Amino acid sequence: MLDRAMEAQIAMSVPVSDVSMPPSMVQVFESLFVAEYARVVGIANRVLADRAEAEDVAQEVFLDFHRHHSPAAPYAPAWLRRAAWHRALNRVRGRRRRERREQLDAAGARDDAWSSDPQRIAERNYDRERVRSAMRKLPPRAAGVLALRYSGLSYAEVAEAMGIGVGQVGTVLRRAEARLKREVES
Amino acid sequence: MKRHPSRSVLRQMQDEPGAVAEQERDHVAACATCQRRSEVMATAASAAASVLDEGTLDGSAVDPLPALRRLRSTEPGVVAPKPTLVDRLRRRIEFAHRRALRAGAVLAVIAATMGTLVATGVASDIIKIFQPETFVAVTIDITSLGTFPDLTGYGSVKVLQTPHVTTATSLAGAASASGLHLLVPGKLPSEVKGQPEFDVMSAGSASFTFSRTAASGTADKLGTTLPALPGGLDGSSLTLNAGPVVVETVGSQRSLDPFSLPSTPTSTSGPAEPKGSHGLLGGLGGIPQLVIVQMKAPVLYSDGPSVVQYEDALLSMPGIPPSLASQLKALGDPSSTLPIPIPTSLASAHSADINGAPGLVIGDTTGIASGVIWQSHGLVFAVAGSLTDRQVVAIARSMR
Repeated sequence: MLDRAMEAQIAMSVPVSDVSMPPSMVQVFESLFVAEYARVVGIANRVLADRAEAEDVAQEVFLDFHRHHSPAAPYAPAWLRRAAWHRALNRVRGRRRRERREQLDAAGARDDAWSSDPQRIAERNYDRERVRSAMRKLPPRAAGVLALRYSGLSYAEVAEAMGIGVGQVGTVLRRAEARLKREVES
Repeated sequence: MKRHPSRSVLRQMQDEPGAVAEQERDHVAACATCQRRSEVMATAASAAASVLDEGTLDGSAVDPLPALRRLRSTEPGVVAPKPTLVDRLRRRIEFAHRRALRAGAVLAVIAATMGTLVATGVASDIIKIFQPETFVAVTIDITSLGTFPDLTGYGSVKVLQTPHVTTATSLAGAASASGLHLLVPGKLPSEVKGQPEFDVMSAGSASFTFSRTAASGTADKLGTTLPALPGGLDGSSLTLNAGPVVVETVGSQRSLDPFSLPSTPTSTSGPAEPKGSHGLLGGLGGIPQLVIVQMKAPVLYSDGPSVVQYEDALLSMPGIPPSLASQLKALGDPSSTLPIPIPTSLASAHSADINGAPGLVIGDTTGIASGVIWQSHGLVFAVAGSLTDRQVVAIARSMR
């Protein structure tokens, strides 16, 4: 939907410059980018288990934020982290894209340090698919709390990114872990 | 301490023991039941960690600088350019927009509150002001609205560009008439039957000019006195540009007229429905099975006072319920948030993710009526109808 909406925006000739920022705000945005980039990539990678794809997701997240939000907004870090989880989850749930990528992997087309060793490629694909499969099967909230928490966010940060109370994080996390364990064992 | 800590606390204690009260830690240390529970949780956590371990970033650190360069190549605005005179002028206007948007959030509640009155059939002439980023519910006791004045109680409203409503019977026709790239929902619930029909509203513009005299008159009517006003507020104007808007209706109740504007059917087939008699959702018993609204996000302009001045002045106006004023003041970022008034006795609201965008869901599981509104890439979307909240969210998420 986002791609179509973006196309729609372009079709309506809404120039990006309409939402560009003055120099001082550009600096604020770049500071935010430097401060949050690794975190956003980390969250996306927890869902995708693919560094290159996680960095693609991070680009999309920051681009979207830049176009629609003030970098000085107090909710900026929470928004970015939440968006990283959502976009990454959307990717693993996009079957066509996943299948295409897997075909590319199988053909050894990706620029990957592991690509010289077919056995390692197979192992890595298996591990990656194990994570993605688990994330696909979980309810979005459960997948989100796992991605956020296991990428190193504190309970308070997880709560802020998910829009829930800190006291609820333990419950959501506990249930997500139990569900994940059941999924893996089934 | 006899009572066992909650499982949530037990789980947090494994990760952040320092965040848990000492009393509870002491309890767990001495309680076999809690320790058993903790062990079960630890086992599940360990299993989860094992699965998720593949998602750990490998040895090389994530370097944001190459990524920032990549983003700059995609988005020129991320690079600080040397501003030209035109750029500086444009940015001043944009800054004025942002200030005005915050004030707009306040005005939007006033207008949207009257929108509630439209839905209940009390008022029929209203300008709706929208805000383009996120939507937050504020609760309103509708019994407090009995003496709530409309915008004309604080100044004058003038339509600068009258929008026109046309009808269409196909998506392509609506897209052509509106100039919007319209999204299409995926599979609809089985109870939603019938061919979709479309209302298209062209772009419109209206201004509101604040008047000390009008506000004083309202204060007199309400038996109060007008608070001190900041300089420059009297006579200042807010201008709203809105539209185009496309309203897609599926189901038997066709006559949706969200803006209470004249309907001018053109080349499309079928006669125009009677207007203005059904309110926002067609009135009680007239809720369509499904309504999908797609519109360009409106923009509100100010010609003078600052955001803070507008907010302080408008929230202190006579007739604004104190509970509403306090909710608005507590909003995190009024410049990007449109408050939606929710009558406490009629509806409930909660948030939902719509393909990465924060949405506000209004309604419940009864299926009598629910709706969801969200914004994405400069467009505002809404899905509503005689459906459950889960159904409208599912439809919203299926739109491609």
